[in-house]
Amino acid sequence: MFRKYYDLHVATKYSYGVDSVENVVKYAEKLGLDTIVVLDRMDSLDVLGEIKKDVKAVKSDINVLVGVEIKAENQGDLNRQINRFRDNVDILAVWGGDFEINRSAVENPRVDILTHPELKRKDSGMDQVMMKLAAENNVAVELNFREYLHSYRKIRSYVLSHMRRNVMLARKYGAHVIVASGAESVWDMRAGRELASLAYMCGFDRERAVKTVSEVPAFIVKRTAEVKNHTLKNGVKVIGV
Amino acid sequence: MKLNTLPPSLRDNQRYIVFEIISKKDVRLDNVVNAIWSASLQLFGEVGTSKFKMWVPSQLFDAGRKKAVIKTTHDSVEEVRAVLASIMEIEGESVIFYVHGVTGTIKSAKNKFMGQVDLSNFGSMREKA
Repeated sequence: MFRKYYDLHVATKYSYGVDSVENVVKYAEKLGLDTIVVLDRMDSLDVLGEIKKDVKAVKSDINVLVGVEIKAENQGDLNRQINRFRDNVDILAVWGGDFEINRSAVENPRVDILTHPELKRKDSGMDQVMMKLAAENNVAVELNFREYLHSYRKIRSYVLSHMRRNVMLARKYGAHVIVASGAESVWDMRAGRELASLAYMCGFDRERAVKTVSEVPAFIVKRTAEVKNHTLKNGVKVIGV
Repeated sequence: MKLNTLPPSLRDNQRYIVFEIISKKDVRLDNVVNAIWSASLQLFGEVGTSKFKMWVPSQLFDAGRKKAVIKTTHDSVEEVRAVLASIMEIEGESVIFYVHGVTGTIKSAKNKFMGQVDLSNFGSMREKA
């Protein structure tokens, strides 16, 4: 059986990335990925329209979805931005790192992914209460490959240690964990199995590590599509991956 | 005096990881090997790296297609994969290491992923057919 590999977090020139959508898709094809999500930070729906236009213009065999990564100042701002973008994107992620934002993100079932909750922190950014909420609200916790790739020595060991703690809590409470490249340029992108090696180093066994880049992201994409197409109503719970 | 060869039951099980280096410029084998060693030492340290028993056979390096094989023990494949994934550049040029597959013998690595089909017994196979 051939597995399909997903990368749910690739940035382009529309936010902090440097490459065009076309280039990103070209490299994703080279790396054997099945689905990627162009996940950019944006202030307005006009930028989103431009990204969608670019994605439509690219001819490729792989699935390219459009998402937004919300970087909020506070809880109110986060809710405002979720209301603005939720119905217009395939995947909605929240830029983690701030404790208040991490907490608000995992409390909100309209959020799909909390990216790098441990970013620039001296702790892992998630405790057992938050992880339980993430599991209840189906918010996936991301292990960001870029954060690991661009750090060295002491900082990298801290990053891995925080990720390992989040993985331990996620396994305990059954929260979804995904590994995504978080690529700023095409050179930060990696193939699915190589991304899974980060999950392996953070404490998953080999089979579960591979699921963080295949089955789990596939479940998230399917679920958001069902909610978007109104085939899955609010209050209905999907059990299992 | 030469060491005796270990009996098969005492030898490590080997795995051969076939990988491709995606880059804009050509790469040299010695630079690839240096990059792998320094990445491994940085990520796993000297003790960790010693367990992998890594070896990059020079005769299996395809400079044209930028493909190579790294030999390791069967229980270190994931760690070596992590090492390859953590390499960002060689000689200042950005690179991506893309693993095509893992095999148990050099022969199958050549046949499946290097495009070197073994035709040495082609005649006898034809006679059998």
